[in-house]
Amino acid sequence: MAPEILGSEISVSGGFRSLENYYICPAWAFYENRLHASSFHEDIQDEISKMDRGNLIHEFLETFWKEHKNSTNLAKMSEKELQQNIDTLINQVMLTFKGSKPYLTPRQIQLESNYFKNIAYQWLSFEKKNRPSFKVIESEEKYKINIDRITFNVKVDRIDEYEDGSRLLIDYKTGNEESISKWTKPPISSLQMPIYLTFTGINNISAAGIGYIHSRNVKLVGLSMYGQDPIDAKLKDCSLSKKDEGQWPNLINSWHKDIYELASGYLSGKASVTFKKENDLKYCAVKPLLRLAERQFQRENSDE
Amino acid sequence: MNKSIGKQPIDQKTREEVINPESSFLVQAPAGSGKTTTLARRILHLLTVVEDPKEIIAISFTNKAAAEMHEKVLEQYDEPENGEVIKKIEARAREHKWDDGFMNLLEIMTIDSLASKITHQAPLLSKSLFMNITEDPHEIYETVVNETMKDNEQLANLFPFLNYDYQKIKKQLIAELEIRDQWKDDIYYYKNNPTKIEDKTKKYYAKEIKDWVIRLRGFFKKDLIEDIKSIQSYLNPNFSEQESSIDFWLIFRDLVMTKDGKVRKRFGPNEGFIKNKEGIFYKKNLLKILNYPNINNILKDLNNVIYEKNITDIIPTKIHSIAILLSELELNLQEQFMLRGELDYTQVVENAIVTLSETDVAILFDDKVSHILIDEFQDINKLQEKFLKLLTDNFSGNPGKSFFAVGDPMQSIYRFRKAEVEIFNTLQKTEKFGDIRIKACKLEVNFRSNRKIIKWLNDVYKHAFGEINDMNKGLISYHSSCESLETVKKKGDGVKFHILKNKKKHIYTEQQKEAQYIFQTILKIREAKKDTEIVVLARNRSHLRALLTLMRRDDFPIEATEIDSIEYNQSFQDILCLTKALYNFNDRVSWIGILRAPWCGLKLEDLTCLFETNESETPWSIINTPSIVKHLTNDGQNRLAFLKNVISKSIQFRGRVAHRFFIESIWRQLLGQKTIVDTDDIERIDKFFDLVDQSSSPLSIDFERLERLIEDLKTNNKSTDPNPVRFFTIHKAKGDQFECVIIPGLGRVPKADDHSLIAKDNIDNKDNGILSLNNNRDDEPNLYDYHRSKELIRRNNENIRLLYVAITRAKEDCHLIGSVTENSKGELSPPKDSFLNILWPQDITLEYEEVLDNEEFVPKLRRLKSKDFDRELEINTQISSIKDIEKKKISKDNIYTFTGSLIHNYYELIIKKQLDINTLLSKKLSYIYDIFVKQKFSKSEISSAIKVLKDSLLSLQNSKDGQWIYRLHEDEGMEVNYLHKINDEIKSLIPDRIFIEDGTRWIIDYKTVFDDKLDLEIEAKTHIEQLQIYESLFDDGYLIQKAIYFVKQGKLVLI
Repeated sequence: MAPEILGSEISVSGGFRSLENYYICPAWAFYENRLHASSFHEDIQDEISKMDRGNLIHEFLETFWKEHKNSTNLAKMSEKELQQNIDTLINQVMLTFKGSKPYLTPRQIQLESNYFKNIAYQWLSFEKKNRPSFKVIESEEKYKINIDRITFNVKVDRIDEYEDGSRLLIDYKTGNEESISKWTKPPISSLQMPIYLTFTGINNISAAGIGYIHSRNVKLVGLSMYGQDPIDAKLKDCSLSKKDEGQWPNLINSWHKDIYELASGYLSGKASVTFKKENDLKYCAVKPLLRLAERQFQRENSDE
Repeated sequence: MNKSIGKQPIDQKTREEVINPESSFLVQAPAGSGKTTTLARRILHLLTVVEDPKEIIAISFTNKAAAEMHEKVLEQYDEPENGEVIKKIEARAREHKWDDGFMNLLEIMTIDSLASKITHQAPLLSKSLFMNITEDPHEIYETVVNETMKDNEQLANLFPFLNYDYQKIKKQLIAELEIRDQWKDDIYYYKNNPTKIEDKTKKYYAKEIKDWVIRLRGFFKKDLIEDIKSIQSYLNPNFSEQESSIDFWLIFRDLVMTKDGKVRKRFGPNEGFIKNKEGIFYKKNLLKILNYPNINNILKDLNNVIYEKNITDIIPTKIHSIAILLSELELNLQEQFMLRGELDYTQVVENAIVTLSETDVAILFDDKVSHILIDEFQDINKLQEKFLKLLTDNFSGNPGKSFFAVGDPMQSIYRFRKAEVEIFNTLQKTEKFGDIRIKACKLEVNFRSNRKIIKWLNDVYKHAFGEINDMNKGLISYHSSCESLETVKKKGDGVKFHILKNKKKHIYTEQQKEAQYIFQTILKIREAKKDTEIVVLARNRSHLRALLTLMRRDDFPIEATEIDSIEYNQSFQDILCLTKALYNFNDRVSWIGILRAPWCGLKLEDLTCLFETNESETPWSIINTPSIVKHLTNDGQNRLAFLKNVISKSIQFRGRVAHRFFIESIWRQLLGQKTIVDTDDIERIDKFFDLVDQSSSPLSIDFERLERLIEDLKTNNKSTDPNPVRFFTIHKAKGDQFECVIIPGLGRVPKADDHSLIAKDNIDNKDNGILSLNNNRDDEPNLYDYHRSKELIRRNNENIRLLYVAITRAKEDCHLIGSVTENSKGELSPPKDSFLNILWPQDITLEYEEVLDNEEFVPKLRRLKSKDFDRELEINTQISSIKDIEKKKISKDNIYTFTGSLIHNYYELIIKKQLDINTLLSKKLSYIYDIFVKQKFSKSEISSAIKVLKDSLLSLQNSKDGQWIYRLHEDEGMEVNYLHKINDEIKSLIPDRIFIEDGTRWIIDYKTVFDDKLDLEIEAKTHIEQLQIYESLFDDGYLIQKAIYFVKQGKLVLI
């Protein structure tokens, strides 16, 4: 047990990840988020990382929707126009990027531009074909989160407004897909969406989804709360849930309670090396500090 | 020799025949048939006909196997039964004046060493002059791929097809370089014949389809085919496909299988069956067909047939591009090898092939070598085969030459290393190796296992193997073995199954329950017979984790060989953490790590106090800021001071002395030895320093490489108990035997492998490869997916052999233990790649319903006691200055003392670990050179110093005194620091060497004297006083002999 964290407004590095770390293993959050221990990566200068790709896609989509605003405009574009709009924007975005990475070869830049054009086209075509009418009302907007005495900032990738005035929260992801049951079924282990939905104070939300944008597939998955008609893309209509805990108001309540508990536990100073599956620690940057070998040895030699 | 004929094994005639030196043989020898003994006996007979033992070369594939082979030969040499042969050999030895130790000098080696030896015969041509074989070529591959990927014309074409995944493609290309001997020839064909690719692939496809149609028609027979036709005609009146066309079968598959590859159970209007009399009639007919035995398997296989339209990657441009890219990578790799003076194992064999085909070395070799023997011939790969064929090119027709290969296709388990068992089978069929005529023979008698095991294998397990050899599927036929007189006498109950059933899939529970069950079984076996020799053989190391934990908690004596990953050794992890911290003052994780490790052991509240608020400061500056440190607990302040003190005193030596000495010195000062919990850890720490050596240059440590080396490192756990339960992987246990074998985890599957970038299949038995390219997508199946499905079938068939190897290790009992879980429908079906699937169906031993909770274990902080620690701190500070002067500090003031200190350190290392000096010099000389250069000594100074250093190390093997110094003696005390009080002051005295020989205690100091003209006797006398102080340390009744060893001259002078 570490000392309790004192003070009224505790800002936490790592944001919602800190609570996810805490959920998997309290010691993880203690070392990484409270003591700021994390592995440092040298910025690789001569290639394009996954993070670069993620950032560039976010930047592109923000600019695209600032300019084109809503689904009506998108629908009006011919295939060719859409392609042209994408090309122009990507070239613009890549130009700035090139400046920040002087060691990339022209061929690398060229290949990467092609990649972005391809994937941006796939995603926007998807939006064009599979979604009801919407307008984009916010992009990359910052929100301040308060949970118990913890506070941190989040950036919501995008908020759309439907014709009925209700709102959809979108988070773009370029990495591996994970099951939405990680945040729709208790106990939840993916906290990002639940935190956006319960602690940002955004009103009139009727749906939330993750937009997967990678070249294997593009899709929008998540929850639709009130059984809208038509259902947006592939969102799961939770008004159809047979179990009570799957219903929207109950979900909000249980998220609120679970997340609040995690935050209180973190604040109390709990830092034990306990976890459910060692596999959950696969990407833990402070794993050496958990002294798992010693833990195993002590387990093997404890009297029971 | 007096045994009557009736008592001899029934295959005795074959056993006698295959040792005939005048003929060449391929011997198939099943498990327990005395394979290596046969080979050893042949070597003895060859020794009676050769003029020089060097005419015989015996080859294996691993160092371990080579050592075992040699041991076996020596064993047979002492066997009274071989008396007459040995007499002949001895006569031969006298006649041709062989060296006394000729039996120890036999040419028994791995195929890689043989290749390496050949290349050294023509070093310029094979470019291997001064080239070392590297154990870790990964980094070279990586460099080559990174450089090539930066700017390559082919990428524009390939990148979109390969799904833009830069990191993944890179990883896949690195993996391809590792196995480049598999595709090299094909790649050149594809690169040079772009117009022929499409045709070639289509031809291949046509042939595959034909095989499928034959197989399907054979399986369904006439009656069922007619039934299928009538059903299809009901569903579609225009149906006109015939069973000779693959379309007929694909339409049938689409009817009865769902999209995810499962056989439909219900048919209704959606499938075209209307609810009337006629519809019901045809539906019933169809269900009847689907009840046909084994139909599921063939339908599943049929799912792998790829329709021609889907062979998207025949698109010649793509496969042509990848061929060009790979051939460029291969060229760049050659260039890197040259630049670095390093090469990998594949390259050594490649170079040997070049040497043999383009120089006179083959003829030279042919003059000297007459007999080649190969053990475990089923493990050979194509490249090695090519090499051996060139080597034996002139053997045919020469009665003085012979070729002998022995192995067992049923024990071929190295597909993952690209061993190709079909080479064995082809040789068996053709009886020709190159131009050499070979006689193929089979041994039949199993001397190892008892009657029950042999019977079970012959009657039951036989059916898991193929009825005939089918190389296309990697299927090997079973070859029965029969019992011997010895096995009849053996006790034991043979093969026994223990299958446990779980109601719900819950991996943790399943593993825990199975581990408990196995432990109970072991206890029962030991209860029945106390001294039973028990071994647990697992397919994967991870399958043993739960069981090992359980048995260790019970203090049960166990011995695990290369099972535990070093990750599970805290002492090792701690020194890794220390190393990282010492080489990077910014590395917050490692710094917190060393503050938490037992030598410091700060509590969480102290760590919080240091690091919670000072986010942007480096750890080193935080712990050196008094205003922060003063808030720590008293205990914390003491502990921190100790660590800080040690590090700040020694950090100046970083990069000035060899990394291993620098790290070890700090580790020792931190009382690292005291923190160790297991005495074997000392060895592991030593191993760690070896890895540091391997992954460092004089200036820095390549931590990426270090961690890669660590990842591959497995530890051994020894036991002092005379009969512990032993743990091995099946691959490691090959060649061994045990009374009782336990094979756990039958229901488990190995970790899935990564998908390769290209795959390959052959049109025919010639090397006519068809390549396919992975598009890294899970969309429509294409040729790559087809190739992969075939490869998986081959691997599955290898699993049958892997289990065979495991079971045949048993002499008396073999317990097969596994768990199986009910699916949602209450059915039991073992996972596809599991051992259990091979042996299914089985009776259930036990049922489990409860689900265990994953236990929440809270570890405690382990650290040195503050009491000890305070005292140590005191002593340590008092003596440290003397230590520095006398030992740890390498003075760089002048090159003489610097060289001397280096030699001291290398002596300690060499003698303690009994290293081979030539190997060490070949690996380390450039490293040492760099150390000197860094000290900014002049060039001429350095070259004379290097010479002194070389002479000094070599004196340990070349001078008589040196050899004596090199040897380990009784009561070695090389590392001991003797604390001694002189005039009320504690001093640390460190003689270079102390040991006992013939009742005398020797105290020896090493001295480096550059000048050869100096009178060493006089020089030695100048050190009398120092040695007398050492002498006063001892008063334990031994006679004391003091001496100085002059390292360069290799001379010991007594005082």
